[in-house]
Amino acid sequence: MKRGEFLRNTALSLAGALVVPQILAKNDTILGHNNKRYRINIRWSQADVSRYPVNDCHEMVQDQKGRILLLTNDIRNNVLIYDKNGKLLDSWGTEYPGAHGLTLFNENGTDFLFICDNARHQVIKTSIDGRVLMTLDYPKETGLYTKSEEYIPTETAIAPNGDIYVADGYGKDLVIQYDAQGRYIRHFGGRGDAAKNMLNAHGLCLDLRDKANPSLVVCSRQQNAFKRYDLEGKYLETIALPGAWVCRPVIKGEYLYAAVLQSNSRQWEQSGFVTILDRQNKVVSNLAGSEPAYKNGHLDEIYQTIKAFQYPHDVCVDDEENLYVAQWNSGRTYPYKLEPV
Amino acid sequence: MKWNCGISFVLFAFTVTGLGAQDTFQLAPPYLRYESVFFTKEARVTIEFAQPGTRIHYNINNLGPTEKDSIYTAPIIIKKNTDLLSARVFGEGFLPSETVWARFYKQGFQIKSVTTPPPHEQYPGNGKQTLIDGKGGINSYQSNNWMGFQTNETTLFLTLQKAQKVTQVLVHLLQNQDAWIFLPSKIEVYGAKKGTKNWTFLGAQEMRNTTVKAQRASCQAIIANIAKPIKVKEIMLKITPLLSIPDWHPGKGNPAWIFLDEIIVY
Repeated sequence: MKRGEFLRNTALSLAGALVVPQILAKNDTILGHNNKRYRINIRWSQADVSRYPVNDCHEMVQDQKGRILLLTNDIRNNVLIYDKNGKLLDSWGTEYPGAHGLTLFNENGTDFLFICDNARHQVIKTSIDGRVLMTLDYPKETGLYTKSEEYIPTETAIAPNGDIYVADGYGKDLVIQYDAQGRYIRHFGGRGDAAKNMLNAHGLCLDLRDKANPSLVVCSRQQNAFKRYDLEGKYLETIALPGAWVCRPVIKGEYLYAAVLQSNSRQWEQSGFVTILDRQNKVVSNLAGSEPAYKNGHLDEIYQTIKAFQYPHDVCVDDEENLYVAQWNSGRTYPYKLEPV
Repeated sequence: MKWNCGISFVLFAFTVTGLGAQDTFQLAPPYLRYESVFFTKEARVTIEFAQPGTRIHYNINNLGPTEKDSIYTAPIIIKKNTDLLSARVFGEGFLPSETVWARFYKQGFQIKSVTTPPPHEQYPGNGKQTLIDGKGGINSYQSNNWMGFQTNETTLFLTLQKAQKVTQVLVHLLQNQDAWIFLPSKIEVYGAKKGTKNWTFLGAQEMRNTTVKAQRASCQAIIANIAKPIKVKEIMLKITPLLSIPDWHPGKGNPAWIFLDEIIVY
């Protein structure tokens, strides 16, 4: 947009505000559809930018104390720890230049973290305060890798029995399964034309909503879809999300939440939003995105409608159903908070 | 004066509401959907924007619609060569979107065949007919309508269905500077009555503003006008890319890519 045009638009919309003063009272923007609507707060973080800078804000989790942990690839503080009001409580980490994936696993009452580092080509298990407990190098056992550079892990998911699933989302798009001690079990997915294959297997999570049939949901981001596998890697189904470059799936209660990096029709133009699917894998709400519509059971292409986000990369859902959205390559912005309305 | 008012009001609003005050977000531009920007009789365009409480305003041949322009309700039919459709979304509580636009082109003389040098393996287009299949005008460089080249010069040969008095040659290109795709610096047109030995120079178009920074990806047509039209059946196009990406760009000094999806001869 030309500068002149921007000024004119600002003037027009605010001239409206002068005539109708109550617009200030309802100034808060509500995003989303149906029963999943949120008020967005872009000034949630109270971190001092000069002391606790961020680069890409890649992923967020909540620990059992209720704190919100953010992973960034700024090596001055790879992990920032907030309370739910955005007050910075703590920080640690200087050794993760490619900090990308952050997963929390509660093992017999203790919180542990799994960090995927793109640049180190490793997965690192740490205590909640950053003590390194285990490091997984590139998976030679698969027979598919000749050097560590081919392995660019983006995300992990941990099964109730402690098995570790790693998505090599910027490498070979495989999911590699290890036991809790880090011993290789199997791999699946990978690139190709079959339904079981993926393109940009960028994130994954355990789906324990159906207790009798636990499964794994993995994103195939460039295919604008999620793929479901059983815990032994058998392909089960594809959940098509036309238009949406879905990042990691996050399941809380009955719903699946995912940051959408960008709209497929408008690539590399800061066209991201957030999508929410119900138990039947149906999109019920797009935050800053189009109102979901289905024709003959097929979802119409979904896309950004409000420029509230640039490149959302992860959603964290806290114990009060608030969302926190971390963004990649978005002007070093801190996460936003969204409260349900 | 009015604009200054707007700005000071922004500051005022932030001051009085303090923490929790939110920016007014801008709407995203609407989505133009069409099969191709090239048509024989007419082109049909739908505009999508599934955001309750907003309106799409559009017009033809007057870039940058305002709220005085028509509200989109049904598919738009484009019938005239070079018609420019532009659209924008307005809604209460949001800043209006940027303008999106698309220009549509009528097909010209029938082209029997086109020969190109091998395109880059990642951007091979859609087979031999790519540049004369009537498909294109999609801004995404990943669309298989685009043939991508990264060479010092790209020379193309066209054979018309029959000899014609050629007045214009239109080359349809992508500009996506973030992806190192720039408009070429020059297009030269040569013609021959038959065979490919005795070429006559017909015309050229130089692009002096290809190094100027563009905000976003767009399709652009470069038209070479033929000052003294003669009847030709064979046409040779020499396309010189931007050989050195300008200093303001991360790819500075490298040769730029060119992406073509269609050639039209009038």
